[in-house]
Order: sequence, then C-alpha cells, then structure tokens
Amino acid sequence: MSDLGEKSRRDLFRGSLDVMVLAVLADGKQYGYAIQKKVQQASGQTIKAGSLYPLLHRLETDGLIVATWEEDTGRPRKWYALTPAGEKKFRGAVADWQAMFARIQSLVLPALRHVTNHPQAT
Amino acid sequence: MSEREFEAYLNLLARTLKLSEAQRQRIAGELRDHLEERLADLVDDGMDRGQAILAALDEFGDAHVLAHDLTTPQSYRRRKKIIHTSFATIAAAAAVALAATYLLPTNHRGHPPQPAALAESAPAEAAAEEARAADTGTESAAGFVYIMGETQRPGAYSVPGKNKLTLLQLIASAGGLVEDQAKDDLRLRVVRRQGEKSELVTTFTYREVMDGGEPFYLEPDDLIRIIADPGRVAEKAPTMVTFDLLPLFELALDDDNLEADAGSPGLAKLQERLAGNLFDVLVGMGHERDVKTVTAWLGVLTVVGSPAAITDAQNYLDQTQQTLAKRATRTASEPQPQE
Repeated sequence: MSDLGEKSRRDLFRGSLDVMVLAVLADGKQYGYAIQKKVQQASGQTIKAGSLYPLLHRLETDGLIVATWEEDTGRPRKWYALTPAGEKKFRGAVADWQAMFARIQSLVLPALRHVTNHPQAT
Repeated sequence: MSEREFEAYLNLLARTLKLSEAQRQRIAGELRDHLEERLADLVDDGMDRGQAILAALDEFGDAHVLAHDLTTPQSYRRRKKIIHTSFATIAAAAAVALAATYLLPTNHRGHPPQPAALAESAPAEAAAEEARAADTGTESAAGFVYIMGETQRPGAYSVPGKNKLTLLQLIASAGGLVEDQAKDDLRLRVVRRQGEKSELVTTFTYREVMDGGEPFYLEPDDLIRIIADPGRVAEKAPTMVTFDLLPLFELALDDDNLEADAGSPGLAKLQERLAGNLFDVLVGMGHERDVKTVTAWLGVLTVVGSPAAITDAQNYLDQTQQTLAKRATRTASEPQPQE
C-alpha cells in the first residue's frame, strides 16, 4: 500500500465511498456510526463523521436510501436502508466498477510481469 | 444527558442550518446519537473522558462547515474552501479593526500581541485565497451575503454564483421579517464592499422591496441590515449567529454609521451581544484545532467581552493547546498509525 501515495489512496477511497456505503446497507439497515465503523474496518481508511453525514443526507435526498427513526436505545436513532432505486444504483455501480478494474488490470498486470522479469539497472 | 460541549456544538450547528426547526432538530438528534456512541467507544478504549469528548467533536470538524455541507450536499467540497476563507477574513478583520480603533489610543498595553501579529499575514492570505476561489468560476463569483436586524433568521447566506440572488429572495430565505414589526417604518440598507472599505450603496423602504419593481441583485459580501425606525427599536434577545459578527464589527466601528443610526445599538450593546456569542464561536472554531484563529478571537474578546466570557474563552484556549501538545508528543513518540 505504501507505494501508491497518500493522496492517490485517499482519492481512490473517496471515489469509492458512495458504493461502499451502499454496500453496507445492502447487507441490512444501519445507522450512521455503525456505517462509519464498517466502512473503516473494511477499507482501512478513515472517514470523518463530518464527511459521512453530508454523504448520507445526499444519498437520502437522491432517493437511494431511506431513513426511519427508532427509540429502542433510549435516545432517537436514525436508521438507513436501501430503496429499490438504491439497490439498482448499487448493482449498476458495482458492475461498472468491476469492469473498470478488469480493464485497468488487463493493462497493469501483464506490464508488471514484464518489469519483474527485466529489472532495470540503476 | 448529553455533554455540555456536545450541546454547544449542536446548538451552534443548528443555528447555522438554514432549515426548518423540525429538520434542524432531526439533524442535531442524529449527530447527538453519533457523538454519544463515539464517546462511549473512546472511553471504553481507555481514553480520558475530557479528551474523548474533544476527539468525538473533532471528527465532525467545524460546525459551520458541516452545516453548509449538510444544507448544500451537492457542492460541499467547493463550499468548504469558501467558508474557511470567510472565517480567516472575519477573524482578521475583527481583530484588526477593534484593536486599531478602540484599544490603541487608550489602552495599548492591555492588548494581547497575537491579533496584531496575525493581522499582517491573514488578510493577504485570505485575499489571495479568495482570488483563487473566484478564478475557478466562470460565472459571477460565489460567496456569502449577510443579513442582520429585524429578520427571522439573520446570518450568512450563500450566493451560488450561477443565479443571481435578489434582495427579496434573500429576505424570503431568511424567513421574512420579524413579526409585529411596524413594517412601514422599516428601512433596508445594503452595504456593498469596495475593497477594504465598506461603502453604503443604497437604502430601501420596506414597501419598495416588497411591492415588486426592479429586482435588486446582490453580490458576494453584501451586507443587508434591516433597521426599525429610530424610536421604535424593539428590544431583542441576542440570537445572532456567528456570521453576524463581522457586519456588527464593521458597523460598530464605522463612526458615521453610529451617528447616522440614532437607534443603533452602540458599543455597550455590542459588547453585551458579543459576550453571549463569542464563547460559542470559540468552541465551534476550536474544533478545527486552529489555535491561531482562536487566539485572534480571544484578542477580540479581551476588548469587548465580559470578564466571565474571557475566562471561559481563556480556559478553552488552554485546553485546546494542551490537547494539541499532548497529541504532538503522542505522534512524535509513537510510529505514525496507518490512516
């Protein structure tokens, strides 16, 4: 991971954030703090609470997720779940994503073999 | 049962959100839940409670930035930059103006050195930053206009840059005018900035604005002040949001303005209102861990604040600096954790 560079890694993470959040919710409804923890555990990257909530509210405004309030925990908690539109978006995004990675890999992996077999003299 | 610091932050956030009261309460409720959970986790992990509170808030960042990100989520990255710029400008302008006008002639030695030192660099940096931000837009520049006085929600409102905002639209955004106001006596004064110095552009009567006619287009940094007719000034509780501070400073410092407005609050009133606000401002800003800015505000507070507010703020600054120092020692002694 260290060679990618902090900025590239953060950019990649940021670009994948919507899909990761949708992926967490595809697994069942969740609330903000739990979503944050799951994304962080899976990706090894930090997502600030100050970025997460604007993102969640944007997905909600776009109709991709829907929120309900429950009071089981003693204080009101806002739970998010995928809408049918969100599921569709998620499936499309994942397919798109995988296709893109496959294409990048088709270039990168053969090239990697080439470099490994012929190390450059320095 | 929420922590005092959490409530101060949520309160500041809610006041800045340009949404209905119910929407604001829902957002505050969601974030409160997160903060409490996070605090419990951090304490479980062995962190000192006071530190955990600060750490939990730190992850949310500045309350005003978050408020804007939540209300305009689509363009939140671009906005963030603009808001940071506004803060720098406000702090610098306020510190310089107050120090120069009120303090230097009479009380030079009581003046803390930091705001003056900051004053030399901050406005230039802020101006450069503003210029860069403006360069990126092909439309007219985006920014904020400020409305204060007899309106339901005084504060800073964003000008998107693409569609020009009219004075009437701004008043509508600000929830209209305060009720029970003798509307025929209201005057709307628009101050447009020309470089460093404010310039009075024009004054409208309430009827001129409300009864249609030529729309008056606003520009970034315009300041709109709604003034009740002198002699009928309603006493109001200090409910202003942070962004009102800059216009207040500017108006209060402009002697012509003070004289022209017989009903203007004047310095004593200004002090009273600011004392109630500045601690909130410091708490909100401190979460960016920007000691320079907090120090600048503290300088302002020393000039205009009440003794209790100054003590509160000084304690807060000490706390911030201690946290920073501790954090610096921690990061120096431990290997950098993989982010």
